[in-house]
Amino acid sequence: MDRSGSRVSSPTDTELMTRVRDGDVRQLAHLFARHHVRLFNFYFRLTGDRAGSEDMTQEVFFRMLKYRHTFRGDGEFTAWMYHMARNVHLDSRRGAAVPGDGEPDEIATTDPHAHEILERREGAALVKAALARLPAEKREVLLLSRYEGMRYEAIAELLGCSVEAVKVRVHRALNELRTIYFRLSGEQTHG
Amino acid sequence: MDDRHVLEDLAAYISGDLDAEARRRVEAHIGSCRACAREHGALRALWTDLGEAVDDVPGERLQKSFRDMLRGYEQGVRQAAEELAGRERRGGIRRFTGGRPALQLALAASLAAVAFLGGYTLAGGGSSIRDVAALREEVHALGGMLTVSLLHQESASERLKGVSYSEKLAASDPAITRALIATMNTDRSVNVRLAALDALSHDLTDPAVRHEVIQALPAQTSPLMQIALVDILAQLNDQESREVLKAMADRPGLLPEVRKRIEDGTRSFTDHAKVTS
Repeated sequence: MDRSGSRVSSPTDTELMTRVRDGDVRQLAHLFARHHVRLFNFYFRLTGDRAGSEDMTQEVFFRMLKYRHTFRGDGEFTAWMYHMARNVHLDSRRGAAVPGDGEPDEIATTDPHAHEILERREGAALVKAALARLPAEKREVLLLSRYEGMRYEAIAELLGCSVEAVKVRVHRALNELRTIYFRLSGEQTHG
Repeated sequence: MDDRHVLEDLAAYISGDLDAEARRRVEAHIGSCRACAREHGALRALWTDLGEAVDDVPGERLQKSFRDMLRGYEQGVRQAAEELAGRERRGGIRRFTGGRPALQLALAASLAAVAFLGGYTLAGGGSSIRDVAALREEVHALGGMLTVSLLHQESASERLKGVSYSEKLAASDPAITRALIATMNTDRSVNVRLAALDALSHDLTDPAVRHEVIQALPAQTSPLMQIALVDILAQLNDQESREVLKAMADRPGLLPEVRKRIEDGTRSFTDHAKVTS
């Protein structure tokens, strides 16, 4: 309910998280239902490690519960969530909190899944394989922009850099992805 | 035509991150530059292919571990409530909570949070939760929950305790601030409203709190609250305060004492302006 008394039919993410913060922790199940597949795919595309991605996704929701009282509700819930998600990933790379992690930054080219999709000769599958070969920091910024639908301003805030820096990073990431894509495409055609 | 190439703007153009002017410039340019148009076509096709990648589905293990985590938390709440009830029977907690269910629930939830975090650590759920800062946060959360609960009690003296307790918490908590603002505006006891105003007056550097305090004046009908607010607004001496005080002074039916207080307060504005000009 807002100040004018009007109602919205379905609670927003911010409303749900506010309820969690205020003690109604069961509402976290709704946020999990809405976001766990998205978060899992963010991690899976970032790391290529299925088990590690599941562990990191679980860890994000655990931290939401643990740090629920730090949720202020004055910004986008997803920005808050991805801030945590990024910290979980950084912790996992430092070998800290998340078990089952330890994947390389760049997904191994011997990944059988990548070979499988290369053989399928589909544009989307090929671009997925190319994405897996992109350096981790470029892959991350591209995932945030393309799959998480984040505006450059939000990405800049998350990464702690300027909007212009995000623009340059996405530009370089997309161009490098294209180079890898064409290389794979050639391998596929002549392989 | 704008003959500057737009290669470095194409990614932002495709993702929709350019402002209207930059977007128009890119569109005008690729309409007449074959090289940039070709580049745009290639990158857009790649962007589309990226978007067509189908999401993978996580295993059932993730859903199960989430359900276990939430269930574990809720069990912790229940266990802590039972433990509290046991302590209360022994007379330990009752003096603190006054036997009120809302306070007991708040305390139980906070104790459960600490217990649950401890249990999760022992189960190997994450090393980062062992730090002292996390426990301190939980203790702060406990204080916050108790304060908000007190502010919602039936008894005015309990609500006054809530206001008093809020001032003892080290860091400002948005939930407490919201509860104090609501108390200042709507509590049926003028003493509680005055105490809430006093507590909020320590946070006037926060623009949101300052705005709420300033805008509280027109809605207050108690002369005591009106005078307390007039004093605060006169000290704030900002544009919004001056406007509210002026509108209040023009209100028909205002008690002469309150009007005089406003006149005294706004005179200090004029004096201050003379000194500084």
